Amino acid sequence: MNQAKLQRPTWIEVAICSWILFAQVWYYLQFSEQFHSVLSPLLRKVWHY
Amino acid sequence: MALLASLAALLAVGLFALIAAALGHRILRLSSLESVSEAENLLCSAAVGVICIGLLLFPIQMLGHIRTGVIAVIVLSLLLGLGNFMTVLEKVLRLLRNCFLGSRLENFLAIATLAVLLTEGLAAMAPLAGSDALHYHFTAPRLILLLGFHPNFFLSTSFLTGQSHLLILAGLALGSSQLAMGLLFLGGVLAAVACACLVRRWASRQWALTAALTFLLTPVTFWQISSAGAPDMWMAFFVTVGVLVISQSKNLPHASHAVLSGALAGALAGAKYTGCIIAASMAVAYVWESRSIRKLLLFFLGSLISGVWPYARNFAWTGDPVFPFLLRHLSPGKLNAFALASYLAETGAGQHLSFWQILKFPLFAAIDTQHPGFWQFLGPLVLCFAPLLILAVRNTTAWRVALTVWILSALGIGVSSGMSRYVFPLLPCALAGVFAGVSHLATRGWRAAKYISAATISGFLLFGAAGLLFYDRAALLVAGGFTSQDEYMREHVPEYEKTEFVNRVLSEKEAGGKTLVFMRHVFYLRVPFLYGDPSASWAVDPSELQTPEEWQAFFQAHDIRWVVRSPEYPEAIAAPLKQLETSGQLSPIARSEISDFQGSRVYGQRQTVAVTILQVNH
Repeated sequence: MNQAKLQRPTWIEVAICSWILFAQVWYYLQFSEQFHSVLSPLLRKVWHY
Repeated sequence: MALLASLAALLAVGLFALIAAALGHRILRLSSLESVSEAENLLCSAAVGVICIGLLLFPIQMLGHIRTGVIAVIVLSLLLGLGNFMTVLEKVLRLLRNCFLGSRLENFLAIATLAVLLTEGLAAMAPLAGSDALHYHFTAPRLILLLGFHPNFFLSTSFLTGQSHLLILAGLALGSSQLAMGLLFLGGVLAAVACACLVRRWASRQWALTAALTFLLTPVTFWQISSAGAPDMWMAFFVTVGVLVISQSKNLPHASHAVLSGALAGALAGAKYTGCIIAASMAVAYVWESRSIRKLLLFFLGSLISGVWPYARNFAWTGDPVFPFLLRHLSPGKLNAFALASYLAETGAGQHLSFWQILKFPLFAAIDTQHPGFWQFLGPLVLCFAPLLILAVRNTTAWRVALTVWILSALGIGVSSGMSRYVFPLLPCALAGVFAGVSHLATRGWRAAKYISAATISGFLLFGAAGLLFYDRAALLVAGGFTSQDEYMREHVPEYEKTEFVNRVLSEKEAGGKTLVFMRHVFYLRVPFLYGDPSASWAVDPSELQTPEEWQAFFQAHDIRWVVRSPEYPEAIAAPLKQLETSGQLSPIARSEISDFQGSRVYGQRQTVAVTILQVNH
């Protein structure tokens, strides 16, 4: 029981984890149009192949 | 054969690095400025050596025999550093050996870093294909080699070239654009090592190697190091070594340390206008640490010696050291309002960002959604891990200097230019800081944060590795000899078919007279040309070229015999040129349909455009 309590993330750790996940999702989404432009012809080629 | 040539060029670059480092090592020894850390000492030696070689090359470009001069500078550097050559080589080999004496993870990271460097180095050996390089980074030095050291108001971006462009000049003077690209690649290698050294101030070797690998696999880095043909990698190196050197202010309280710190700041300022902002931040960090006016003056002396020359050149040629940005205040009579407006828009100097937008710059998160593109993909890691700085930052010299230079410079760039790509030289410094923060997660026992951070970094490294191979695949194939150079250039060099057509048609014509072109990528033109797009050509002012008569006088004044329309004239000057065509004063002599990129070449979309060569009839 004590062990489980020790391993439970603190609020600050939860906040840090949330920030890391949120920040990278936000960042990659900023380039979604570019990813689409580069990846869609590539995926089309793979699909045709 | 192509692979051997690529490896030989990379070896020559390695030899150049050793010559520069040996020269710098000797200078540091004579100045009693040897750092405790062997790696930092080597980096500092390389920086000092390259700065000195640049200083020697600057007057050489004014001479008639630039090639002989470049060889003389390299031989002189070799002779001056000869006694230190073996010492430097031994230190380099010892450092390389030490890279493989760690844990299995450290060995894996070291091998991965070397593999990435080899990939990027080989890709850099492909024929030049970067857009700005084809426009001016390589074209301006090539024109100096061909025509001498003169102001070129047609290719007015040539005024933006700095001290680091002298390395491109040296490579081209020795007859090899591969060597020139290799010398830019060298800046990236040194920047990655400097990044690792900075992390070692605060964290273990594992994190140092991870930070270096992350830096090398960031899309803007692998674009800059392997194909852009721009000197920004050297800026990243100088700023990171600058932070390492300034943070030794307390250990090396000599006057020569102030000059060295200043010289590194000057090297940054001399590379690019935005380098002045980073140099100013370094001056602030230095004065805070040294608390001495005398040392600050020595710092400025060092800066002036190493970085003032491109500004002095511009001042002598135009009256504006930062041409064309101060011309409206210094010499309003010489102003080309059209070109200036275009420069301000392109460099972002005319933009005004909000307070919140400027705050994004130190976090590398200021993405310009109006002009989207991978050229501003600096990675999400600084943004993700910035809160972890709280865990790592201490009131030490290294932290104070690194944070001052990183944050002040980024804010300064945000205020003055608003272009996120210009913060790239600060990336090694920022990565070093945030990775030091991540390294503290383990000691805190925050397992969830530790695993999420590890997954984030691993994901980014995998994404970067895939991106590197995807982006550089064609360059690697041509550098390895699997595809021909001609095939590569046709498929990957923007406007290559246009330049090939112009070269083919006009080389058959009698000698004499110049060709006015509006295509942006002019490096491969082999006929005497003048660049005429008014958005980047100071000499072509639409307000002074409004009638066919004014154009005829312009053609005569500049000995222009041919004009290339590809496919249309720039809008601001199209009307009078069309009138010249209608009246027969511009008559077509050749026309071709060629294939070219539509938009950025990274997306690979092509279109067919018409190119027409017209003869000027007086």
